[in-house]
Amino acid sequence: MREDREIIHCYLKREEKAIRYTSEKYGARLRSISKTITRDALFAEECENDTYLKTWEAIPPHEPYDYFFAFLARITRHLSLDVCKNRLRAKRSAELSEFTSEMEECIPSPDDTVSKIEAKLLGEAISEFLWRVPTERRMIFLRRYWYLESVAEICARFAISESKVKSALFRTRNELRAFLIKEGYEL
Amino acid sequence: MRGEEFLAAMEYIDPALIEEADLLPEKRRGKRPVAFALGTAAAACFAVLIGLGFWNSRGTDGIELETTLETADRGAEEVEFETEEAIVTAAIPEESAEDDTAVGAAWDIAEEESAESATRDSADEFAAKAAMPTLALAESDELAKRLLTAFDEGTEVAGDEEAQKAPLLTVEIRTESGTTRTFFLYENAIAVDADEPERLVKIDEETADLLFSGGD
Repeated sequence: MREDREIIHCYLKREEKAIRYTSEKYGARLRSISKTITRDALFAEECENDTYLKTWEAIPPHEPYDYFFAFLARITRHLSLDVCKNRLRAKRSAELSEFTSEMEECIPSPDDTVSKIEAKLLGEAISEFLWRVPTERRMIFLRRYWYLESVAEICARFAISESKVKSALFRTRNELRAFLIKEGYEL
Repeated sequence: MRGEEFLAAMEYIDPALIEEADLLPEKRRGKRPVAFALGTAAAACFAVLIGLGFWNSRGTDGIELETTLETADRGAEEVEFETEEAIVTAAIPEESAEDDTAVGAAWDIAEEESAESATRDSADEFAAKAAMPTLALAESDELAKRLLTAFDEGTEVAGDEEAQKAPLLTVEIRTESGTTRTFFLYENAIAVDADEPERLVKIDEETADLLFSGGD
């Protein structure tokens, strides 16, 4: 298996084998992320391939030496969410509504002009908060709201009960709400 | 839609968080440090005392129910108390939960008798003792630096007496290299590095207080 640094060097030198190396090392994990979100193997494969294309376009100028997987996963997640929105798949849309309704109580008021900068600032605030949360609760929160896994999938991953997952999510959401208020966000 | 803003903002979170969450969780039943085992035993004893307290108080003074024991199944990993202010979760030591020994038995008593004898104070006191809350810090945090300095400059104390008390707080310090250092904090500002459980160090009270208050 190639080191991330070597793969990124290939991208920087515009060598197409960079995509093959990326696929060999991370393809399955990226496909899994996408399949969790889209619930469709074909869409997942499509998102995986689009991820390689976007990565090819993004490196350079980006040089994600430190967090190459996170860099790829972020692109895959974004593409997968776009698939859900654009293709208006009813079932998955309902599941997205579930995520969003859960979070509404601790997220700033709607603003149609919310820019990427504001989203980035909010993302940084959420990161700061999450680093203060105990490891297991932090991972549960991220599996739910970044990887968009179902509660049942999280239970299986951590070998814990559904009530514990729900309790952890409940407590973390409440703490996040308090943290964001303290940081000056109007909820 | 507000929730969608959250999903968008999540796109910009620290990539280290994304990578961490992609790792498989640590095995839940691994080898525990000695201090943890001692803490577990002490928590079990405490739970028995609480359980006996519930038992003895039954029907004697008619304490008003202020706390609902939400879940306390034999074999459960934790119990939850829903108070007016919050849901308080108390971890049941794994050995006791599995083996139906002291803590499990105590909770059976508590569950049966809670409608008559549980008080919020006793429930919260148990939760505070048994849950061993965790404070997660990054190595670059001032509080983490302060603990590490206080631990290095602290005075080593004789172990047995203090080690038999339950740890009150677990502090996890994530290093820049991605590893985690874990400390247990006891009463009287005693700290133990999980990697050296036999070595008990008295740190300064001010640092201990800051840690117990989460840095506030």
